[in-house]
Amino acid sequence: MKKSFTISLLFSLLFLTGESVPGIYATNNGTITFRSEAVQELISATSDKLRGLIDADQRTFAFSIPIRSFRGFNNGLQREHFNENYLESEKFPEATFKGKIIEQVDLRKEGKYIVRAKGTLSIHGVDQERIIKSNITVLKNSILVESKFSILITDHDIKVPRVVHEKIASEIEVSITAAFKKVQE
Amino acid sequence: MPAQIPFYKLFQVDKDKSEIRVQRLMKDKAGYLWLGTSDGLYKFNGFDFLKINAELIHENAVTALFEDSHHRIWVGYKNGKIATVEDDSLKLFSANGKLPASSIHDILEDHESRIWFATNGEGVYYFDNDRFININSHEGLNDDFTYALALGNDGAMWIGTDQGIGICSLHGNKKEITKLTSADGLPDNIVSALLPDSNETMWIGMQDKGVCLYRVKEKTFFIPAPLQHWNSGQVNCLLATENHLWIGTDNNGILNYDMQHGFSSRQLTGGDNVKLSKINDLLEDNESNVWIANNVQLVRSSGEQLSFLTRDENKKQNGNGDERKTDPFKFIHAILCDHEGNLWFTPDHGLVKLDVIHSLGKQLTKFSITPPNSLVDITTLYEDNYGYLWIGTMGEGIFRLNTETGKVVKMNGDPSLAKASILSITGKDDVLWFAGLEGVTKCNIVHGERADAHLTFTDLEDTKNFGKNYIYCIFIDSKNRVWLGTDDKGIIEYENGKITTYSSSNGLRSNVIYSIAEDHSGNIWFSTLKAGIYVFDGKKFRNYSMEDGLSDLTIYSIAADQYGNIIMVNKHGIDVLDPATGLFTYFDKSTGINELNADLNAITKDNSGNIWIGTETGIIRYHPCERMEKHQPVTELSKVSVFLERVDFRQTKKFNYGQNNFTFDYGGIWYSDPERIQYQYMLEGYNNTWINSRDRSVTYPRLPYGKYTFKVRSSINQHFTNARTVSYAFVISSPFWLRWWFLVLASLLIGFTLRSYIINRERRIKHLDLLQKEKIEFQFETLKNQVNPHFLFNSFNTLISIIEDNPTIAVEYVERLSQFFRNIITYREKDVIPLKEELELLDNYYFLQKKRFCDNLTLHADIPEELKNSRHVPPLTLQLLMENAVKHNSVSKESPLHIELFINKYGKLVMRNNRNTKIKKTESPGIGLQNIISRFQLLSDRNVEIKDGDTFFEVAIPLLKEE
Repeated sequence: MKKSFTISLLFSLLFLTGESVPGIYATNNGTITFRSEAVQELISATSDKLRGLIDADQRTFAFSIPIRSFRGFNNGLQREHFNENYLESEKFPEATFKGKIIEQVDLRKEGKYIVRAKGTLSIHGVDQERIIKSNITVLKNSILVESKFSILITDHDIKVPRVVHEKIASEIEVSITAAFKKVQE
Repeated sequence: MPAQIPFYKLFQVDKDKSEIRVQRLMKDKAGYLWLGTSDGLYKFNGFDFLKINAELIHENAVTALFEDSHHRIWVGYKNGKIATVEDDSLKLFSANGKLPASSIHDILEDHESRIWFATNGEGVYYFDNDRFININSHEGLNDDFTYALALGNDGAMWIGTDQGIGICSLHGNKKEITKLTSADGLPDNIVSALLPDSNETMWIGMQDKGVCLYRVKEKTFFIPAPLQHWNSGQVNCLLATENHLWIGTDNNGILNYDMQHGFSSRQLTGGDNVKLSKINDLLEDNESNVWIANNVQLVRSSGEQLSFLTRDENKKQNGNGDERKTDPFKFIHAILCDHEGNLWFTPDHGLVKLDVIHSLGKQLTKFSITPPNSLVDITTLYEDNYGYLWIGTMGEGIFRLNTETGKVVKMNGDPSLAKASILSITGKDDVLWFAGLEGVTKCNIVHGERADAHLTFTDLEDTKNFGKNYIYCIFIDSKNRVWLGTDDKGIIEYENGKITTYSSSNGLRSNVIYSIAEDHSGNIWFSTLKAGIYVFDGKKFRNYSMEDGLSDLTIYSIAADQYGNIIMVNKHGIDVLDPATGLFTYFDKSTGINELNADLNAITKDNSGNIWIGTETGIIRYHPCERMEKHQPVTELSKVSVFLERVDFRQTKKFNYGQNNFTFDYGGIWYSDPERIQYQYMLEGYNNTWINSRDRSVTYPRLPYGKYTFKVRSSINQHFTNARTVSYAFVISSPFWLRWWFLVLASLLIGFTLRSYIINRERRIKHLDLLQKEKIEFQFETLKNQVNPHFLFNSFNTLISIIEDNPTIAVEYVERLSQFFRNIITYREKDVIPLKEELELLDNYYFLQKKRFCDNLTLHADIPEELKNSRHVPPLTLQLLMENAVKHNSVSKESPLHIELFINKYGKLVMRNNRNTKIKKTESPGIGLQNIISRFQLLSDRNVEIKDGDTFFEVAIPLLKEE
């Protein structure tokens, strides 16, 4: 909670002041999709409210997504269960991922990079140290980020009743696409 | 395609908390398993998971576990807290210096007893001399995010970080950090696991590039071929068992790398119930089981010791009906490992060759021995000296396979064998033996060239006598004796043309012999139907049955491993016997084996000594282990309670007399099958015999005082002789009334009492004697006094003077005198008389004296009436005192004598007279007064007081109460 608050504060500061911050890239409309491929049911949902910051000089980053912004699902009830029973979005409104990029790449130079982003993934109020592989394309004033990874629901204490075990996969696939723009003066 | 998997069994830490994730596994020196979980620390004894309470640590998720050389268990938490375990309770650890605040990933001790901690974001810490010292990226460490610690050969600490490996050595206060990164050839900079190997090599587990081996001297990195092209995600943990490297990955379960052969890697699958995806930790216990901390399960696997060769579960086709027809690993009838290490086995109507070592899963070759549609059951396989495979069938005689060309030839040398049913083939050099339903046949093989062998059957006369019964097995031992196991005739031994039969008439309990093997000392082993196994040492047979520890009396096949252990296959599992110690080990349901239903003699040994067993459900590989002694449970005395209250039995060895209700809790650790553990205990000093039990606790309610030793040992096969005994000696003190000091004190007391009694008694007797003596003396004195001639003379003179003047008074005078003398005589025998009587006596005496001295002598008595009756005095006391007064004082008109008699304030009777000292002192021995004093000393504790003043003389005597 505290972390997500800090990130939000950082965001607001950046967008409000509009000062030139060298090497800082930001987005607030990245796309995130998750898929659960269980034996009996396939569920997927998407949100385009992914917000993110990348410091190209320090090679650090922060992402956050409001849980309630996911759309899709197979029906409304499913979405309700997702928010209320599984991810408890009242209590834990955001999922965040922040950390550093392991590879010693120079993100100030244009080009395509495959990097590993290491950081703390916080979902459902449970932190996990994760290393996530990502494709990064650095353009003149923007950075494109693409990434696919999976989340074990047990890692984040997401409790699924036995009766729906067949309907919800234990491993959720997540994909992210986001275009970061250089923060201007 | 085949996969080799261990047998599995699942465990749940807490039935009510299915979400517990086991993060770390540790084995302590005693052999106990410890589990670091998302719900705190647990200790596992095979039966129960004991949660170690952690009240002071506000974080439950354990992320690191380690036991140091002082048997102290260190626990690292997700929030950076560090705790230690002592006596099964957790204590938050703190020391000087900055303490870690981010999660502890690993803990390790170096050669100088420093404890190191790898943290997530703060580099490493080490604890030395009560201080925490931090080494992070500012001080030269590659990175602040660290995962793993390992000790190098030279004692340097290897630290796996996000930016390669930091090798840190401390020399006093100086530290030196060498970096090993991708610049040096490290395949991936994120090093998540480290495992020191022998020969100055280090296994390195990485985030993206799998596992590599670093050779320290050569400074080279090496990725074994099967582990190249890694796609199993991050390596979370590494474990080395005897031959295998177990690699626990983040999203692809476990990979098994055979370090011995160096070129095979197998991904372990878990089967239907075991989910092997994210592996958090791996551990090998003392019984060679490998424990797997899966993200959602705790799994015990049989490790390297016993594995199962089956079709790869991942590639199992769905809904393909009869697996008996499609799965070559099911319903195996015969199995053979050839000299090249290929495994030959026969599912229904088939023959399959599998290259086990070199390319498991790649080369599975199927052979047809007869035209495809004819259904022939293969019963036995044999490889001859030339590499040909001999195939015995049911009802179709013998075939021979050229393993190089794959060509199969039916052997037609002997027409009687054309339709024979062969159950067993063996041979030596160029001589082959075939045995089966039709008896036994011997033949010579002549190989001109390998491609086409010439076969000559020699129908020996002597073999005719072998009979026509079923022969289940034929075996040639190292001494060239040929042994036959028959269906009804027991054992037949054939040596140099001589036939010997051993059957029920020789004492065998079964005439049906299924299988024969020879151990490394040349003993021959026979398995029977319903009578266990027999061993023949050349002279006599010895039987092993259920009482010896066998789990089933019918054994389908036996084999001996290179260490001399005998492997026995029964319907439900496998028993392994170490004949040297008589110890059994069992592999059965608890190991994860379901019904075996193995065919007779479907057993073979490979070049590495592994034993392969063909069964209905697949092929089992048994990897022999050298030491059987380790197949005994570790016994531990876990708790001693007195009146159900736990005592610290490591410290407390002495108990008081009343502390006599003892409960001992003990346990054996045998993770493979805890239910099998049996115990023997004994309380030496109480009952000196071993008592068998399956309980893990025993109570002795009312122990008498004395010296005791509680002993307990455990076994899984009722053989306690080799079991290590755990003992606890203690003393219940004798009651205080039996301790030496009490006895001494008591006898002293008794002696003292006796002594004082005797002394008292003596004194009393003496006292009485004295009293008697005094009395006699007094009487004598009194009589002497009273018959004193002066007294009489005076009395008579007085009488003469009054006879004439007043005869009436004279008569009274004589009466009084007579009365006086009578009283003296009456009282002299008595100790005391009432005061009243004494006063009467005194009055008589006074009367007599008064007549002599007239008014010059006066007596004034003032004594309360009640005292006269209730008090006593020794007789004649007052008379004597008055006599003394008259005797020692002059009585005349000029100086009259006044005598007063009264009770003073102390309650004593005082006789006082004024002093008219005579010029000439009356001779007096003073015996009278002295006598009175002595008498009172004997009769009363109060003294006679004498005051000899200038003008008066007084004597105060205590008055006696009648006793």
